[in-house]
Formats: sequence, structure tokens, C-alpha cells
Amino acid sequence: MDSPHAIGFYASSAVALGGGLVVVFAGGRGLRALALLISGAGVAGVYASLSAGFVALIVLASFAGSALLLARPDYRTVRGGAAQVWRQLAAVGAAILLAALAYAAFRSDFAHVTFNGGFFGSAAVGRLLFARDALAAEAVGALVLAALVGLTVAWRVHDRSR
Amino acid sequence: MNNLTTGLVSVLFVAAGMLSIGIFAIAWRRNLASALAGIPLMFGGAGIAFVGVARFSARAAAQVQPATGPRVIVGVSGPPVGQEIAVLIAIVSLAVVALGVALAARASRSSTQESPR
Repeated sequence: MDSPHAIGFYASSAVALGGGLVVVFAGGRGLRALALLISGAGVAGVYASLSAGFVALIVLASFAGSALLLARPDYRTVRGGAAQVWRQLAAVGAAILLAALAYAAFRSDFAHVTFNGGFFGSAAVGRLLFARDALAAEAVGALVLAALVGLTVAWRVHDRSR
Repeated sequence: MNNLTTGLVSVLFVAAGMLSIGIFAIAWRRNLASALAGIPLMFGGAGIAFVGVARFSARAAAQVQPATGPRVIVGVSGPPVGQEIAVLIAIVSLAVVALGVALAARASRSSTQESPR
């Protein structure tokens, strides 16, 4: 990976991680959605610097959709049902996971080869999605359809009750 | 001047960071809608790891044995399965957030009916 790609990778990584931290600590709903969108732009930049331009477009659209959904002002605050001790255990687990993954990445020795898939790579990904792994793509499509139908039904019930 | 380079280790560091931030957001925020914002971060971190492995790892290594001199190992990058999985992960992430928002809307309706303000 040459210098411009590496600079893009590190800059995009900083944007993605910084946006993620703002998502965690931001107070307002709009600010949180904006930070999620910025973090998504950073993740898309990371993908683009890794020669995965098609994935970058998909992920940017996914983050934008999530930010739009989370920025909607017409639902009230709902408290989660998990107990405090479980939350603290999960937070400690996340920290341990970060340390373990960082240690594993630092200590491991990986093969390094020249990538010849091109920058955008939509043809190769399309062959995988619609030919080799068509069943998995269909399953994910059915899952998304079920989620969107569930979202629509739940929201219509929510609107009708008001 | 040295060239600035990166490799799989850097990619895995970033992926681990995103994954941990997402898990931390889900664990730390009490508001359900705020916790949902951690899901795209978590799934994004997993996708970065998949794409990084697809970018840097070798699917096969052909060993070329010349008559004289050192042996040469040629790395061959395979089909971008990691990119395919990252696409599927991104779509599933959006679906999970949509379902979570719908459940939050239903829960807020129930709480409004139980304790009207």
C-alpha cells in the first residue's frame, strides 16, 4: 500500500473512531445521528483505501439509513431492561476484547501479497453475491424485507394509537 | 524519505477499536435508541476486519523453484469473499437498527399507555 492510500487509511480511521466516540458520549439525538454519519464516512474511507470502493458505497448508505432512523424525533426515550451489573460486565468485556484483539494483532505474523482485485471490485463482489453465494444473499434479502415490514407495521400501530 | 505504509495489523487494530466502541456504546447507554447507535459501529468494525483480511491475505502461495538461486514464493489473492461478507454485514446492520427502532417505538407506546404524562 503506497503513501496516499496509507494516509487515507489513517485519516479515515481517525474519523471513524472519533465519530464512534462521539456517538457513545453525545447527548442529543441529532448530534448522535450526525456523529454516526461522520463515523460511517470514515469507515467508507477505510474501505476505499483498502481497494473496496463498492463496499464503501454500501456501508455509507447503511450508516446514512441508520443515522436517519435514529434521528427521528417521534419516539420517546425507552430504558433498556438489562440490570446495571450486566451493563458493567459488558463494558469490562468490551475493554478486555479490545486488549485481546490488539495483542493478537500485534503479536501475529501475517502473509502479505499484492492485491489484484482493482479499486472498485463490484464485478468480483457481484459474482460472489449473485452466483457463488446466491443463497446467502437471498437469505439476507429476506431478512431485510422482514425487518422493513416489521418496522412499517410497528410504526403504523404506533401512529394509529396516538 | 520513508514511505508511509500500512498492513493487516493496522487494519485489525482499527477493526478492534470500532468493535469495542460499538460494544461499549451498547453496554454503556441506558437509552435503547442510543444503544442502537452502537450496532452499526460494531458491525462496521467486523466488516473492516473481513475486508482487511481479504485485502492482505494470500489465498494460495505458489512456490517457484528456479534451477539456481533462492526459492521464490508468489502470493495470489483470491476472490474478495471478505468484501462480500462486509456487504452482507452492512445490510444486516441496517435491518437490525430498523427493527430496534420499531421495537423502541412500540415500547414507548406501551409506556405512554401505562403512565400517561
